[in-house]
Amino acid sequence: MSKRQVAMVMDLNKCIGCQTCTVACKTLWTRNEGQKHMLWNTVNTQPGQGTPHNWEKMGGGFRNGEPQPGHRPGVGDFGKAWDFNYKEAFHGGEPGVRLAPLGGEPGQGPNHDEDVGGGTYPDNYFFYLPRLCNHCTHPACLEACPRKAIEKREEDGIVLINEDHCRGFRFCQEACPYKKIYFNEARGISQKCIFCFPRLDQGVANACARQCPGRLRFVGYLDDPDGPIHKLVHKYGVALPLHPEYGTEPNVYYVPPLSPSKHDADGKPTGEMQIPLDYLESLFGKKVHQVLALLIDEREKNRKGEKSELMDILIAREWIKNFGPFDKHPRSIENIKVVVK
Amino acid sequence: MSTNFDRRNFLKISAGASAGLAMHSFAAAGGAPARTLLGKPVPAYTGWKDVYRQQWTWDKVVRGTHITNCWYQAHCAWDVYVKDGLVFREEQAAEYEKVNDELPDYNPRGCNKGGCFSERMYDPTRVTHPLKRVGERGGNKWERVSWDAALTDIADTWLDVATKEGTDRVIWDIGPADDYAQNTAAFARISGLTQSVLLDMNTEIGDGHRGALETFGKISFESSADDYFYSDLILFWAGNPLYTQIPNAHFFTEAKYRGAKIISIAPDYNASAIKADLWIPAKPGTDAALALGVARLLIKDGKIKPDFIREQTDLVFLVRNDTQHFLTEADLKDGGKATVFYAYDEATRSVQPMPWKTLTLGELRPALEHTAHVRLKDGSEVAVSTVYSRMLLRIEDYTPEHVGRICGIEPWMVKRLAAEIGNAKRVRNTTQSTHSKLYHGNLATRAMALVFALTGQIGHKGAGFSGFPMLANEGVESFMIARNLKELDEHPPEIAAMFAQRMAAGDTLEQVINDMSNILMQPGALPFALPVNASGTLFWHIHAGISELSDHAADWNRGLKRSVKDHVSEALGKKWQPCVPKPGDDPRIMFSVMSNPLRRIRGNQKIVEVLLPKLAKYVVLDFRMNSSTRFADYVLPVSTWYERTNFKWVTPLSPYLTITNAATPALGESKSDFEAIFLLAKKIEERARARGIAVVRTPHGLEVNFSTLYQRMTFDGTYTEKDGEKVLKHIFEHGKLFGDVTWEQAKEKGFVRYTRISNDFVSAGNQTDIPKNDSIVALANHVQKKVPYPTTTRRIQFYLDHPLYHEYDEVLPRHKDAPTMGGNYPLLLSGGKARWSIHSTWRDSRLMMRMHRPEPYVVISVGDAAARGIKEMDWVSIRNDIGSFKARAAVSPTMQPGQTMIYNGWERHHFPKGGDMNSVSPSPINPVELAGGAGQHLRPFFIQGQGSMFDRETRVEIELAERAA
Amino acid sequence: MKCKRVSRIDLVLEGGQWSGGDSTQVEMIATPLPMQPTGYVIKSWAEKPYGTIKTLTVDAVHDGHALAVRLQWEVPPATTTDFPPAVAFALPVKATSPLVLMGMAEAPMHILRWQGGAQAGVRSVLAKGIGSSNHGPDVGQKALARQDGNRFSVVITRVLGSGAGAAPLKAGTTTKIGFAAWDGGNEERAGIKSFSVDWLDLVLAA
Ligand code: SF4
Ligand code: SF4
Ligand code: SF4
Repeated sequence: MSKRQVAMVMDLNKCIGCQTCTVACKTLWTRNEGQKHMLWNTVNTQPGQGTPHNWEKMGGGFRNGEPQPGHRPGVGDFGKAWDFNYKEAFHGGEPGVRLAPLGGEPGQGPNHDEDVGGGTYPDNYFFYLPRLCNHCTHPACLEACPRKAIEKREEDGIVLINEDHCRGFRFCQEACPYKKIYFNEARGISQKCIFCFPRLDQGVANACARQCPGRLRFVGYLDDPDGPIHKLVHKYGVALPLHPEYGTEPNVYYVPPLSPSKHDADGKPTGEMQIPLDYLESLFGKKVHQVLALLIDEREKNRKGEKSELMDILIAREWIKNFGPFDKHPRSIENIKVVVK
Repeated sequence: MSTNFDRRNFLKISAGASAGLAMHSFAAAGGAPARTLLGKPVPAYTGWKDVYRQQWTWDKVVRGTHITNCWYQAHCAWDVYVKDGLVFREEQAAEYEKVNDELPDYNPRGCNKGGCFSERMYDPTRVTHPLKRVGERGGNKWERVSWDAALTDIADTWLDVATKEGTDRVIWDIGPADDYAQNTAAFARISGLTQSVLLDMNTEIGDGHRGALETFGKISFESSADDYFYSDLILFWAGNPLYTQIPNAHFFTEAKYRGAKIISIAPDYNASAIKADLWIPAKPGTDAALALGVARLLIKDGKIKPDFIREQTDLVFLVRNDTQHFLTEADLKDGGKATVFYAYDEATRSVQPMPWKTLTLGELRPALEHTAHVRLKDGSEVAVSTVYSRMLLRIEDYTPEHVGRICGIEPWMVKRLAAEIGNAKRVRNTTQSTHSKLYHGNLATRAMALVFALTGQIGHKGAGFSGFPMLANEGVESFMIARNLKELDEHPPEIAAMFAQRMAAGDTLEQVINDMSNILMQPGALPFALPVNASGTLFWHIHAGISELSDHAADWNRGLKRSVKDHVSEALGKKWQPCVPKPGDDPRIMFSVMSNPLRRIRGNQKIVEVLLPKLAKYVVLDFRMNSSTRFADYVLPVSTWYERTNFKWVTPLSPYLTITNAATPALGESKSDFEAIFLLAKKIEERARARGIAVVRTPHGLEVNFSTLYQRMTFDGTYTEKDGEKVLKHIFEHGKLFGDVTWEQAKEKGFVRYTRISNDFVSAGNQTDIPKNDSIVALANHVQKKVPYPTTTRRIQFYLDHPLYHEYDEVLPRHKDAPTMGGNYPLLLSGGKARWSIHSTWRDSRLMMRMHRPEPYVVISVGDAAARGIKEMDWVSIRNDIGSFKARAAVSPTMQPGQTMIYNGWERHHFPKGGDMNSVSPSPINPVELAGGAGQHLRPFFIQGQGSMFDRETRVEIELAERAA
Repeated sequence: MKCKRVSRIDLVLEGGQWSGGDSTQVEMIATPLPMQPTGYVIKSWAEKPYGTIKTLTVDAVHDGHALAVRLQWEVPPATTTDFPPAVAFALPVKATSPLVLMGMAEAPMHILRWQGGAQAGVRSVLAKGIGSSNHGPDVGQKALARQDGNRFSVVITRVLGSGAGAAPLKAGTTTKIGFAAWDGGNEERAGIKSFSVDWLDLVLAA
């Protein structure tokens, strides 16, 4: 156990699926050799195949405390990062050449089934689920690694793969039930979300959190009673881990999505939610029922003009407060590049 | 002999393992000590963590933004991080001060596209040197030439064309480069001084908001995005704001937590519908019926606001039953004005003129429902009735059951929508340009506006009807008009006099501004050279042959009373609409500046077939290769938004002028479009002098002097090609729109809140204040300060008393079935703005394609796909009477059966040979959009009142072309 | 196991005389499952056979400056390309500790490990127990590998000498040698491998 644990809460009611988070992480961290296909932060339409495709069926994690064998997702599962024939298409001297992905049939990328979801028209439903490494309290990846190449930081519980130590054995990829570890073919090492530790170390919130236009990401220490994380996770209990049954005790939590009631033929609300509750329960566990009920009640309070601390937190009028102690402006950090002679 | 390994360097590890470090700029430990430039040193490599620490370092940061047309989203302040002379990433500035304690703040803004412009600007589409076509147009073969050689050739052709054929044969197609700042100043000056033609593309691209113009006399009006937080009911009606308003979208979800309800009205279960409390899946093109059904119920249930209606709308105006025209003073008195209208006053039980200098009614109590008899000036008596009475008759048939049948929804949904609107204190819709792209979309917008007007949900906090969101700067207009430096600061005397006179006569400032912008569409109307703003739609229809796609077609259920050709001749003949150059005068040079017409114009195959052969030169200025550069004779490289200082118009949704600073020098030989235009002017002047060319008479009777072009363009060297920033500073300071904030401060900070609405051609319509500590409420000047609207009746106008509207029975809003554009095919092809690109600007970015789909696709409903044996990822052929194209199939349960969808922005070069997404769009002209005429608010002026182009609801059939592997 | 002295190793590598029909067939067995360092590895390999490389054919020569060891083996058809083929030999640095324990803190072993694939190359590793191997000293290690279908032939060379934690090698002395091999096509990596149970003598001709 680390001394303290940082955590992230994402309010799915506010996620608009814009992928600014994905892009933010991509441009900051994964543009180096061997990282083309890596999206440490992903956002997928649920229900759907997710990233890597069908990851929920890939095993790993723990059952009754016992590690479970898992599948190792490959580049194809994550979605190939195509290259394109730009040169030929624009300067090749042949008219009408199509700009197309190289390598034949493109297959499906990491977000191919965006905005598809479940149900049949017009009883559809879907929502967006952003994901990153959960920096678990009981990290399956760390516990699987025979080289002890994965560390859980003492000061804040961030789970990091030691890239000097990693030999690319990829047991972590198999063991992580969330399939959030990528393999760098060029360097022969596993890589994953680093929870932006260089930023957090200097009091700046994670890129994916600070750059989220939907303002749905909260960051902070779980044990900070004044921070939004503690209130959402513990005080109100509205933030739930994804697939708690995987047994790794994630430190990324979700406020589950509300959806409107269905209607009968006369237009009377039936009380049955558009997103099937058993589906939500399969993702967030049994607590999801009481969380949704509480959110509905609190929203109703606000509608009537009564105060609701929970709604105030989720509305996040002052955005910077979403980040607890990590509220420094990145520009205020003098991370001027070092010139080494 | 043995080796002693102790002497060797143990830190060096074997070859295979060290490769990973090579890319990071670490010196081996033990090398020279690190030297820092500034701030605290990052340690030399001691372990893998430092690689990451090093990655988050930079040499410098400047504030920047993306001067693209992201429109409802425009703009967001970013920090642009530079390392090793290149922009390596961007992150939102996120320093918007809170507006007040109640409203959520504006932080952090931004979207996925802006978040990776640093990737886009260096990707393989980037153009860095002037390119000249080798061989045939479209052959994809280029040679590098110098700017000087390119500009000399272009200037010589220009002079040939201007002297031999006419000054107006040179056309500027300006897209998002039309920043209403630096570039616009350059375009306007070169257009005015050479009488070359600027195509107004706003209605052509499908953002004309025709129905708003018809009803409110203007299109530009919108409240701020934080004002949604005050709403009780938010209608996502015909739009998908989760795609189109990414930085603003949090205000919707947060308003919902505050207690607001959201209703989505859209055929498909889109990304916005998922946030709604109720989704009404009306069929495409049936919004008018739904709105009229709601209006009928609101009236029936007594949920209307009679006082608002009496004061703010023309519903109380009297119309003669014999002629169907408004009853005016001219009917009643000799020398009476045709612009004074009447209502039946319940207080005095008499027919009384409606006040026109103000909306204030005083003692008047105009009747809503009334029929009366009045004696005309010739002594005859005629029956008159109110517009309201006529409206009641009009909407009588729109019962929930009938509406349900038209819209394909349950009648209870109509009732529920009416009840939600009727019971909500504050209702606001979200802006959308869907209706602008539907043949009868104007009717839908008018019907929706009726719902808002009946319930008085306009012009109050949290309540409002959204038009076209735009907020620009007055200063640029002085560059359009000024003949000398003095006129940059104050209007030319002729124009100042016109303003003074008109306002003294009781016209509003807004009306005069609109009239002035209408003058810019009539070359030669004033005796001095003004920029020539021309209708893009008519240009493409007439000069690029787009009309040919529909001229000979069957009626397509348009109910035409006459041929469209006949309508166009009438409109041109009566000067209702402009076409410059006039039909038959072929355009000879076209410049596309970041506008990509070969991608955007519906039926664009005609540009290739009809327009390009007429052009002696087709010059494309852009920072990237695109559908249009493919057909260019010259491609001139333009610098990107991180390589120059600039700002652009924004919107009241986020009322912050946002400034981008040059973070790095422009790549290669690229130059800003501003600079390129000035250099072209310089070259034209130089060549004119060398060739002895000076004054040339324009087809509209003006004189332009090519031998002094650059001199006058630059105000004798005061604003040269190097002075883009000086122009910006002038524009910034001219209108005093930003309180005490200086240009230098604004530039440094990257954004500044407007303190008032700019009274320019494109923003004056907002008619409201910008409170420092509260949200912005569009149209508040009309509703709260009783300033008349710029319509013919000076009210929110539902009765369009124009011959074309009489001819097509559209004097009052109604539902009309969509025409079968393209032929009698079973599927409707609709469209929408994509999440993955702003128009085409990011559409072929590797990163964006990798994160979604790398090839164009059409979304097809599960049933329609199954019926055609089509599966996910199959190549399908989409065809109708006018063309076809191929795309991948995306089969989705979110799509309404019968509806198919292709999202905006795919380039021609994305499609397999034989056609692109525009190839099936004939986009016929809707005759009512040709309206114009003196005294009418229906006439062309800046960004509005011109014909639209339509692509939604094009009829197609889809077939399997090739099974996915 | 004999290590013949030749005049020049490069001549041998270019197709000259190896042991002259005197190759050693080293019997290999799978590493015991309970000794795998993590619960995950144990659990996930409980049902899967590994250690598919049952025999290594080994030859060794030296020329007074350098040692060359040729390792040859055969694998069943691959089920994955995720992991490279690999082979290693270990030499004790000080005393011999049981090969199965991968050395001990006070008695490390020095491993030269070759692997194919994207990061192909030979690596010098110092092991002080299971799961605690680290960069070993640079002993001028090089490798030459050939794959022929399912058959591999890899030559690993290093210079003779001693010091800095390297396993000492000196002409005319006898030391120990052990082997490990990974069938990458069977997802073998880390402790999932076959090994030569115990040390063999390595007799370097004078
Ligand atoms: S940036 Fe925020 S709103 Fe957008 S997809 Fe990511 S989590 Fe959702
Ligand atoms: S989410 Fe997966 S990768 Fe992250 S710590 Fe947990 S088990 Fe490891
Ligand atoms: S926390 Fe940082 S590293 Fe992790 S997903 Fe977010 S941006 Fe990427």
